[in-house]
Amino acid sequence: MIFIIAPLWTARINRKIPTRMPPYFYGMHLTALRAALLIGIGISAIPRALQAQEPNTQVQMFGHVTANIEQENGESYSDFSLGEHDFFVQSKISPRISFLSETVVGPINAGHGASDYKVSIERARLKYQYREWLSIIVGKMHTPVNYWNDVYHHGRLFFPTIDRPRSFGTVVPIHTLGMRLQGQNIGALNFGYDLVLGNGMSSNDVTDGTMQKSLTAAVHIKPEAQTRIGFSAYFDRVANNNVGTHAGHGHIWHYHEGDDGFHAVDLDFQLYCFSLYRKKGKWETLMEASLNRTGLSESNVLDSLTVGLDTLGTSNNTTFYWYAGHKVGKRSMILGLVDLTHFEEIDLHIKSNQMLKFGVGYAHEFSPLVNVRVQMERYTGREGFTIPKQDKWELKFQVAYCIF
Amino acid sequence: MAMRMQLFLLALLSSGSAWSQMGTPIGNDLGKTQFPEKKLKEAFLGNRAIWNSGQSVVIVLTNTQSASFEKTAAWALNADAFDYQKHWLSIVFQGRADAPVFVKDEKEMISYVREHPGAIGILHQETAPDDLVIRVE
Repeated sequence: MIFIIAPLWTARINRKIPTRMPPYFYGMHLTALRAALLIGIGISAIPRALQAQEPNTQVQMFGHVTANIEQENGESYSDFSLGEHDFFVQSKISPRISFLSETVVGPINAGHGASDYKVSIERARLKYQYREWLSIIVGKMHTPVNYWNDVYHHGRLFFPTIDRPRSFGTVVPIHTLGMRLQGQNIGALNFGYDLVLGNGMSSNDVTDGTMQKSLTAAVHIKPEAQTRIGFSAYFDRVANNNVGTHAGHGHIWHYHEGDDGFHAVDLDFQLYCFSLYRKKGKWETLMEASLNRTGLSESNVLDSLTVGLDTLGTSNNTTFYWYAGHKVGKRSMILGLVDLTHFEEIDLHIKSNQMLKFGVGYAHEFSPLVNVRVQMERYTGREGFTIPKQDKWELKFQVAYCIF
Repeated sequence: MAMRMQLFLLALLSSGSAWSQMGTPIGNDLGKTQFPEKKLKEAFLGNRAIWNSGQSVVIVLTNTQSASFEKTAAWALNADAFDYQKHWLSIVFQGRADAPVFVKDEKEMISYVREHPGAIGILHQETAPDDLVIRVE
């Protein structure tokens, strides 16, 4: 049903923003009812499971320190910075029920714009494991739209490169608060799925208050150990072209009120991602590709302010990140990365740009709990877009660690 | 003839070394007492959550500095203890598997498995008690 409705979202003309947005998925009431039923079944099994085993809890802390020298448009900068510090708790409350949380103390902005720290609950979720093919998860979680967001979260120790791909900060909706159905390791190919219904990108970190919800559907296979291929689709409606904490969109990339080109209209936001991770022998690689389509929503009401926007159609934006590493010696690795973004002029949410970042680096692991990385990166792009071409060189050094 | 004999010896040697790498699995209330090696390996990679008995999977490992842990790493992940520890650290962090239970040595592993339905471990040095031993198909 979702795929039948999807093409209809995009073509509607000059509309005013209603005070109450209609739900993005009109069949959601039925979905919610089914979901509630499943949760009910899960909860009814809890007391028996709780009696069976004492809780087993682990607490870990992940953190990193970074040093940076950069030259941008002829100017030079340098800094040492203390990055995100992530307090991770995993507890097996009973044989079938587990809890997981990440509470992060991190800089408010990245790079030279960072001036202070904030505390944020990045994940807090309760999981009931019914069978291999069904777990029910409720709480705040990272959207499983791509490999990076599903696997690395805020654990810098696990990152293959110092920075996240640029799809973070532009199109990847990092979190949601809601309910997730999950199955994994099904059949010979270790098939897995995730279906998430949660607060959309326009909601705040605590609650939502509207009938509007986001939907994520993701599938993957693991044909071999340390190999995973995945595809996902994400649908949401961005109310008033305004996003909250869950979106994680970087300040410089998307339109804000007051910007030239900002329109306070509802936007239908679709994101399709493909991920490939493989580690075999001395080689490790990760590829993340995404297609983002954004267009005017049906919920907008005719208004002189939005004249002409209806003719823009739906934008087709792409991002591509590729990393490859090769082991040299027992604990060291040389690596290369390429990160591309292309956002069209007609996009009403993200400022148009065509950027390229590439780099090489070296990583060394002192233990499974401490590693260092050094990367040389070049930032460039093409002129003729709203965000000007970058002209920057960066030399970065990072120590990442885990303590428990 | 000599060639056949060499192939036979090679096959014998390779099967022997695979067995010694795996060790002897022990488990408690897993629903079956016999599993294919592939299924056991899946469990030790964190790819299995529920046994046929309905018990949830509890992986029991000796401490990461032990020889037993190193041997289990080589068998399950075809890697060393360093990479096997990273593997578990990562999948627990993802929220896709529960953390294994770490015990001091194989004696403690036997006690833990005996007391906890759903628990499974691999012995490389100690002799497996008859009531806990899992046969490999």
